[in-house]
Amino acid sequence: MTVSRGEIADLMVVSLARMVVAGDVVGVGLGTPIALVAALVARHATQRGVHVLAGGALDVNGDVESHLRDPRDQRGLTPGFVPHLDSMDMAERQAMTLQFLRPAQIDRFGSLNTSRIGVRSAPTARFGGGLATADVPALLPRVIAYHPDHRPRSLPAEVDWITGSGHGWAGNTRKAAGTVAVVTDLAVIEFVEGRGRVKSIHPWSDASTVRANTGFELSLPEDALPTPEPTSDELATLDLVDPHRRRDEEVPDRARRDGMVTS
Amino acid sequence: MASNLKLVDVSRAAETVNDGDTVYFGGTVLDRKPMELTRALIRAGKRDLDVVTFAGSLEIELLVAADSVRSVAAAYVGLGRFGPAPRFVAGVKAGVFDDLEYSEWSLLGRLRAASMGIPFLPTRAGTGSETLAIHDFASVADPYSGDTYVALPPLQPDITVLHAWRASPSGHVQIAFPPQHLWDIDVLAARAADRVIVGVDQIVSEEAIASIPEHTRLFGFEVDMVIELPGGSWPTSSPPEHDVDEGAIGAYVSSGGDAGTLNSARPS
Repeated sequence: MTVSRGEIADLMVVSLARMVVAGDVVGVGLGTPIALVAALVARHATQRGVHVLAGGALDVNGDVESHLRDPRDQRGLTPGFVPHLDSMDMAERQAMTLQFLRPAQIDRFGSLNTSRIGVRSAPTARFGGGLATADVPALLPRVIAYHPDHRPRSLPAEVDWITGSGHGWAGNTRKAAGTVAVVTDLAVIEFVEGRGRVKSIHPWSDASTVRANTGFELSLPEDALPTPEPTSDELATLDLVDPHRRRDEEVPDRARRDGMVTS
Repeated sequence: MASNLKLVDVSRAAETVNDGDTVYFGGTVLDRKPMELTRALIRAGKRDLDVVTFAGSLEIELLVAADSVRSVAAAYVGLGRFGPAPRFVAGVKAGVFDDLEYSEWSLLGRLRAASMGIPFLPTRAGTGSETLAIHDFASVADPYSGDTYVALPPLQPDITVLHAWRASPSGHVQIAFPPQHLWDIDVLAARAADRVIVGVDQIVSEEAIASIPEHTRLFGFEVDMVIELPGGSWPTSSPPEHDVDEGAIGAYVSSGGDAGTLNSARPS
């Protein structure tokens, strides 16, 4: 079975959106169309019960194309702009409740690498850097990761570099759960006490493919349910908020075959 | 001091930066980068700079290409939708400067501590991160709850260099509305620094500033030098004057990081 970039992007977006609950205030980082579209789909699905803070603009109501180019184009489509330092404070006091993050690697603890492969003084790869990846797992009530290229090196037993710890933070006054789940192009995986547990497998994949492409041991019931396909309502919302399919850009440009294992 | 003394030319401003200084570069990713001031520092032969920026791009590329950099401290370096920053990545891999990656909160928190004039700022952000561990920050116990926090010490740049829309000779600086995303980090970095140099697309009269005072974001007493540099952020954006020059950045990427494509001022 082959699957297109568009089908992968759609199912990843709606899988992320379904984990958002009414009352969430979702922060969206720079250059992450899947995260932005997922947050906006969740806002529609909850009858505006969710707020979305992206690019300094709140609750953008329009095509994400213009928003990704320049959030100031949302004049007339947003109730207001939020200075960045204010949004930092919202996260620290947990007025912001959730962020979707797209790491280069994620491991069995839910720890995230957006920094480098190899040692810091002479790495073999240097990514752009984490921005808030290090920060938000210890700040927000929860973080959900996504990775559109599920393979052993993307989901290793331990990340090469811990940009953001998956464990979160707990004190007398606050608790941050850290990274609670990852949505990939093959499955939805939840993190429970340093162990990944498969919640659902996408229709074009199966248990052995997921297991073979994951660098850590998974709790994987053989009868794990398939990830529900996007509903007609969800597809209609996708067309509304992302008619130009910017969400596809984050998915590698190749069809993925059932059973394929890559390094 | 006569207020007009804030107005200088770009080479005079560059002379005030010393080899080995910690210099914060304003702007974020492809917006408001102080490119002409960066070129001036390179022309003046500045060396061993400890470069700080929240989200760096082409200014880092020019500085690395000119071998002006001792360290780069940033929460992001890249070209946004144009992909990785080739000179920066090559320099990190070759170890030609110290790669002081920061988390967003730790860099901005350190600038906030400097801006507030306090000895440290406690935060939960970055707990358990190896990126935070690079900086060897101390932790601190909350005297009320006993909870442990990261204690971010102040970071005071020797100089912050910015590009903005317009300023008066006495140094009042204005930005366009609606503000670009992340504009407030420029203001923070200015208020954290020992000295502040601002290049602007237009020098305007004090009366023109007063006619739209809601646009003023830095006041003259917070700014040491202003320079008229039309197009001084090219090829990054400077609202309302011009957007990102996508053709120029695309050409830079296609050239594999030929700094020569960025070395001239904005084409007219």
